[in-house]
Amino acid sequence: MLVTLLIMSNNKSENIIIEAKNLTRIYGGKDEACKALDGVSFTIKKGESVAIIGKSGSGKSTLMHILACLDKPTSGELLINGIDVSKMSEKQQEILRGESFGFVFQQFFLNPNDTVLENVVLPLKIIGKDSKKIREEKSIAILNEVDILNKKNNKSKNLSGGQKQRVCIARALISNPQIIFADEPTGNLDSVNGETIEKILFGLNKKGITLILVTHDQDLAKKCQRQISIKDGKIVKKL
Amino acid sequence: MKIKDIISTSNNNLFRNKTRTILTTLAVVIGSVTLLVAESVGNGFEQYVSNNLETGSARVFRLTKKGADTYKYGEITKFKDSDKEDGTQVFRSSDVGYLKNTYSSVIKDVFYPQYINLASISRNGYEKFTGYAGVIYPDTSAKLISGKVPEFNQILISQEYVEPLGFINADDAVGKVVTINVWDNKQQESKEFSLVISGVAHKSESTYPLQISYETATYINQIVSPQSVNPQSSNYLQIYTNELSKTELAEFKEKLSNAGIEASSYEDQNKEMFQIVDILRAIMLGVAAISLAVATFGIVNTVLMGILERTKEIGLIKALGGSKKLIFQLFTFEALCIGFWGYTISVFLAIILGFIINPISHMTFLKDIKEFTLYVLTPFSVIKIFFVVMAVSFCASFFPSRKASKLDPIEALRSE
Repeated sequence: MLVTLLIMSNNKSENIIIEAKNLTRIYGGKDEACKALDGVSFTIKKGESVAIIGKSGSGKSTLMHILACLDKPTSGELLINGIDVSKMSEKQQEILRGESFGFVFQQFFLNPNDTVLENVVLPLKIIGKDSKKIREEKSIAILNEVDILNKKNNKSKNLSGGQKQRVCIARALISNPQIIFADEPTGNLDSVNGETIEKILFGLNKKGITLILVTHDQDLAKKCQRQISIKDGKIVKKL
Repeated sequence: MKIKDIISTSNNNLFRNKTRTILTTLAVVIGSVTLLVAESVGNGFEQYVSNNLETGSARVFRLTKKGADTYKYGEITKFKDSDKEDGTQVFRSSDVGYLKNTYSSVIKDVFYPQYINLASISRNGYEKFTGYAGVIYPDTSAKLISGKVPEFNQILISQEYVEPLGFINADDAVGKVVTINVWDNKQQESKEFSLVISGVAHKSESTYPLQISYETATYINQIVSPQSVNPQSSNYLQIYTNELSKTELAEFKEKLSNAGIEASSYEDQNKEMFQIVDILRAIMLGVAAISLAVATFGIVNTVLMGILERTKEIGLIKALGGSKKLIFQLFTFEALCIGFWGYTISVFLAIILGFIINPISHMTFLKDIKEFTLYVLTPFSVIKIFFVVMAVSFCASFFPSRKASKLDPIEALRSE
C-alpha cells in the first residue's frame, strides 16, 4: 500500500527508482574510522539491470546494503521512488524491504530443515500477507517458473547449489518485488548452474523488475545494461 | 506476521532441537507439578480447617479478664494469689449487670458458660450411647447435612449418630424424638429429657457431636444442678452482640480492654490454627518457587541457545522485512509454548496424583481422620497457576528475546 503511494507521489522523475546522493559510510569510532563508502552518487532507472563491481573490500557490499535499507549511510541521501529513506520510519523501511525488494544471496540463507515450499512462503508469512492456501498457490506458480517445482516438498538442505539458488530466487519473487538485489548470485555455483541462474535473473529483468547485481565477476557484470565500478569506496567508472 | 503464524512458527522451532526442548519442558513440569501439589495440599488443609472451624459466629465473643490465668497444655503457669483474694480475675454476677447496663446498645445477651454432663443418648428400642454435648450459641452456624440448628427443646446430632440410633439417613432423623440422660454435678444421679432432632451436622473435630441451644442447656441445668446456672464466679463469659461494623467492633473491644476485659471471637480463638495453615502453605509454596526458578533458568538457556543457533535466520527475517517486534514475539512465544506444554502435562500429572495421594494418605497417616482430604486440586488453582507459569515463562524469555530483536540484520547474516 505504501509502495503504491510512493509510486503515485513521484511525478517528476517517473523513471528513476533509486537516486544516491553523495553516500558515505564510515565504520568505527573517531580514532579507527574506516571509510567504506566515500561520496557515491548515481541514479538507477526503473527496469534497468545494474552491476556493482569491485574487488572484495571495495565497498560494493556496503553500497548494496545501504541501497537495500539494511544499513544506514553516515551521510548523504538515498531516494527510493523519490522518497528520502532517512525520513522513513523503521516500519516503513520494513514494509519497503518486505514488499518492494527481493534478495538473492551468495550463501542462499535457506532454512535447511524447512521444505522448499516453506522457504519460499517465508517472506509472505513475515509480512503477514495472504492466507496459507494463497501463499502456497503463489509459491507453486513461482517454483514452476524457476523450474524447481518437483522439489517443493524436499528439505532445502538436500538440494544442490544450483537448486538452492533457484529456491532463493523463488523466495525473492514471491512478494512481487520492484527491485531484486542479488549479491554474488553465481558465486557459489559451477558454470552450468551459474548460467542457468543468470538466465533466470535476466529473464526477470526483461519482465520489468529492476535488477541490482553485486559481483566481482567482470563477465557477469558485462551482461548488465550498466556497470558501476567501485574501488576504495569511490566510484571509478560509471557506464 | 499473523499471530497464528507466529505461534505455529515458534512451536515448530521448539522441535528443531527435540532433546533440549524435552529437557526444558521436563524442568517446567517438575516446577509446575510442585506448585500444583503445594497448592492442592494447602487447599486440603484449608478446607479441613474451615470445615471444622467455620461454624463460629462473628457476633459471639468470649470475655476473659486481663491477667487471668490461662492454662495452656505444655506450659507451667504460676499461681497468683490475687485470683482468690479480690476476685478481679474472674467474673461475678455484678459484672454481668455492669456489662448489660454499660453496653446495652451493643450487647444483646450475656451468658454464663453452661456445661452439659451427658450420661447417655438413646431412642426407644435402640441401644444407649454416650458422648459429649455442648451448647450452640445464637447466630452460630453448623455444617448441616439436613435440618437446621436447634431451638428450645431440640438437639443437633452429628452424622455418626444417625445409624446407631436406627435412622435410615440424615433426613429420616430430623423431627424424631431422642432421650438424653444428664448427670447432676456430683455425677450420682441422672435425669431424663426428651428432645426433638432439629438437624444432622457433618462430623467435625472441633465441635461437640451433640449440640443444644443455650435456653435448653439452662433449662436442663436448672433441674439437674441449679447452682451451676448462676455461679458465684466464672472464668469467662459469652456475649452475643448486635450486628457490628468493623469500626464499631474495634471501638467496643477497646472500651472493654480499657475496663480490663478481653473479648475474643471464634476466629480470634482459632487464629493459631489458621496461622499454621498459612505457614504450611508458605513453606510449600517456597519449595515450589525454588523448583520453578530452576525451570526459569532452563527456559532462559533454551531461548539463548535458540537465538545463538538461529542468528542467521534472525538476520534473514529482518532483511525480508521482519520487525524487531516480530523477532521478540517469535522467541517469547517459544518460551510461552514451553510453558504451555509443560503446564498442560503438569495438570494431567497433578490430576493423576490426586487419585494416588488421597487413597494412600487415608490408608496410612490419615487413617483416623477420614474427613481430611489431603489433596484438593481446584479449577481455580489450575487457572491461577497457569497464569503464574505463563508469566514466569514470559519473564524468562524477555531479556534474551529483546537481545535477539536488536540484532543487526547484516551482522546476523554474516555470523558463523
